[in-house]
Amino acid sequence: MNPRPLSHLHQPGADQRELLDRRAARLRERIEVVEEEQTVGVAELPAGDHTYVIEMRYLHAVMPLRQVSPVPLAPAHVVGVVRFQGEVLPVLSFASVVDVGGWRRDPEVLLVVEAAGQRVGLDSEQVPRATFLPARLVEESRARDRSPVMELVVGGRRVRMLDLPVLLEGLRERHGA
Amino acid sequence: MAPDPELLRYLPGFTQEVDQIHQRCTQDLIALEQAAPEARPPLVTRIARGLHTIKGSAGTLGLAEAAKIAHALETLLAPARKGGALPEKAGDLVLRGLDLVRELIRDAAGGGGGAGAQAAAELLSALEAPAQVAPALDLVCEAPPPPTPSPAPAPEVETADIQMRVTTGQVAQFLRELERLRELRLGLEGRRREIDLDLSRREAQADAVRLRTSLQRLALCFTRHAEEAGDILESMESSLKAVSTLPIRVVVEPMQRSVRDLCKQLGKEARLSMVGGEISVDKGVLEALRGPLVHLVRNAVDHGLERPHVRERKGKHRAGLIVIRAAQRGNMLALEVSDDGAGIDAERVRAAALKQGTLSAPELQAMAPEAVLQLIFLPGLSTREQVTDISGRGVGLDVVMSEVRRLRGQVEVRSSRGGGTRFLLTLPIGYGSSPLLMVRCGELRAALPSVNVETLMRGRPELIQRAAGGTDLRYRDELVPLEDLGAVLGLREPLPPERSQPVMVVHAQGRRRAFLVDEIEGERDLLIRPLPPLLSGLPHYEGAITTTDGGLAMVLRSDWLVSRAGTSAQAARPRALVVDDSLTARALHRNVLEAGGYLVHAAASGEEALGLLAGARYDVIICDIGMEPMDGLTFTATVRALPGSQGTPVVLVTGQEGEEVRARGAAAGADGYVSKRDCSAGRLLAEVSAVLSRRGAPRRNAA
Repeated sequence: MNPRPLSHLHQPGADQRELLDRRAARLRERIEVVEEEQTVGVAELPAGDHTYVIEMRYLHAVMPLRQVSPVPLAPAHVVGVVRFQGEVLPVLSFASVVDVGGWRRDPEVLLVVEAAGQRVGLDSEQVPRATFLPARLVEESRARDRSPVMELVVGGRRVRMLDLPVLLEGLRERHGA
Repeated sequence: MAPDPELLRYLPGFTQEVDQIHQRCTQDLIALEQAAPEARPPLVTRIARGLHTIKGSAGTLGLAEAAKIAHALETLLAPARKGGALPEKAGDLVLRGLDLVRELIRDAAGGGGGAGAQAAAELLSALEAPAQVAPALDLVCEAPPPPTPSPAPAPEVETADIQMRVTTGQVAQFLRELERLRELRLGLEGRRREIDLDLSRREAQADAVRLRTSLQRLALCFTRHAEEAGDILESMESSLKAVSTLPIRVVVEPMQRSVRDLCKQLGKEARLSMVGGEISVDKGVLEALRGPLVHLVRNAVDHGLERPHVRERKGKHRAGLIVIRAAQRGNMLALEVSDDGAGIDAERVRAAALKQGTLSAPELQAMAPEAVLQLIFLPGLSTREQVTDISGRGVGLDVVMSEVRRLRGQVEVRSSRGGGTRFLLTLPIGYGSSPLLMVRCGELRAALPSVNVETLMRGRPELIQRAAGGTDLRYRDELVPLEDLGAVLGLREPLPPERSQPVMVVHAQGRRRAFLVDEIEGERDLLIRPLPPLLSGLPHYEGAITTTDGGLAMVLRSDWLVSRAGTSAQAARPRALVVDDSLTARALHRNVLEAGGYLVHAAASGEEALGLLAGARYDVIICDIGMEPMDGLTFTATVRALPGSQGTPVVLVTGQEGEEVRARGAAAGADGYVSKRDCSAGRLLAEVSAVLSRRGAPRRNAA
């Protein structure tokens, strides 16, 4: 769509023209940056004193943490099982699987995630916040570190990103059939 | 001649037809070899008809090699159709020919590049010798005979029916819907019970008459809805079973050929018979069962049956008998594979287990012969000194066991020297509900397959005997180990049996054990859902079931319950009791404390914790403050007044920060305080350690 001419409002002076030109140039720059910078949608959630992110593509549902049935003799990171869309899902303690010992408040939210052919529930202290991370940053970290939890610095802030396929595959190798 | 591209689309259907003919002819041929002379002609006729059908259709589709072989085999059998003798080796040639024809047609259907042409030429060459005495073969196939209509099916063959192609994905979807409907039904029933309860409470209230009438109407509605949902479920289940099940004989019948070939290879004689072959089993289960059954049958021929002259010397028929019996009990399939061979020598199994280092000599000597026999399912254990291509590597029975376990089933073996061996497989038939016994231990509800529960009884004192090694139940003139199920599941310290406490006697793998439970809720027909991959490695459970409140309950494995090791190793560990109304918080505390070497029991409320404290002592209690109805402060004060627990250190955990909370905790009698935020592994364990030191408690140092 072509921009609407401003001539019907008033004729800008030289200063105003220069200002408008500068603004237009800035806007063009921003558009170019956005086009260049690919992003990854993530769900951000706190656990203990840290901020964790999970790639949005792995997140299937966010729901209240209710009707979790305990599984005696299961590994300690297994909170229990829950019914979800006709399936039995294991509910894992987020703080336990990522080795965060503390938490601010009792988890009340269930995140249903799916990766590495497994669908599991993770408890969460609160409903995660949707945000974006630069894809380049994520890819660089992943290339550097294939551990289940990667540390990223985004805008001077440290966040921990869960590599869910690695995490769940590791758990299955250790505890699965 | 290459198949006509226009006709290629008929190949998949033809492949299925050839599979059926192959199976039918193989059975007839095996029967022919064992039949009396007067019974042979009709069998030969049936085989020849099958070959004729293959010849006609293969010729029409341009599969010249297959048509030539079928024709040559038909010619080979021609004298026998008229009452003449069957040429020597004819059985082998026909079976080889049938295999090759099937292979050629499958290859063509799969777009193969003419694999099997060399084998076809060799077979046709081998068939030339009998052809010298039989009428000359007409191998000209450029103008093949027109396809003839299939002969009328033999009585034992399935009658033709409209066949629908149903993908496994469609069936899975159908099943999911079925499950949702089942859950709806359970939910409706649960709501109806709530309304009934509500009504009983309101009965005395005169001003609630109108509400009561309304609720009664609603209750009636719910009842009708639940009944209707039940009808739909049964109907859907029945329809689904019709498309997703097959009679078990379809897996067993092809084994006749394996038994025949194996006997020829080993110089043995055997007959395989089937009882209950019409029982329908889920196709997936049947497919998974094929391997274990083939292995057990081959094992019976190779290991079990003696050679004909040995059998005759023992007064047995020279041909051994292998019987597969199938029976259905509820949703469970009981399969027995038995032979009348030499039986398993328990002493040789003992020796093999000792050689393998599985168990020590004293342990093996202490084992009853029935228990020793179960060792043959261990990986790598073989009593064979010679390794052959059939057996002797100790690989196989362990695979049978793991495959049957994967199907949520069990395997047992029974054997008597000289009298033969019986393998007993029990497993769910597939989709559909199973009878389960629901029990409760503390707050936990669990289920157990009813088929494994031998008896339910009340634990009368005169039936219970305490011994040095534990407690026994006198049951049918034997002493059966008696345990508290709650303790077995790690929920609590073993509770002493109370007068008239419910007891269930569980049997599996030839063993019995008795378990004390808090309540027996009764039997239900419920579908056992498989556990997700992350939990399927747990040996304790078969799966989970949906309960009437929409939650899940775990289904315990009977074989694990009766065969698991004792819990004596836990005795030396310090004990911690976690009290928190949040399941996730309990899991976190447990995680931290178990990593620190503690044996952890958990309670979801102060009341439940007081119940646990009545039966056991703990080294430390970790308690949440913000619980309902009894908060952590009240609980702590109650513990301080409880005989036997006054001195037990209590560490309070809370999401609230501040000196005031800490002071209130101290006033209630708490020994330590840690905020949830600071509850990192080191901080909680450090606080517990510090509290134990301050109390001067005899610290059994954790890891």
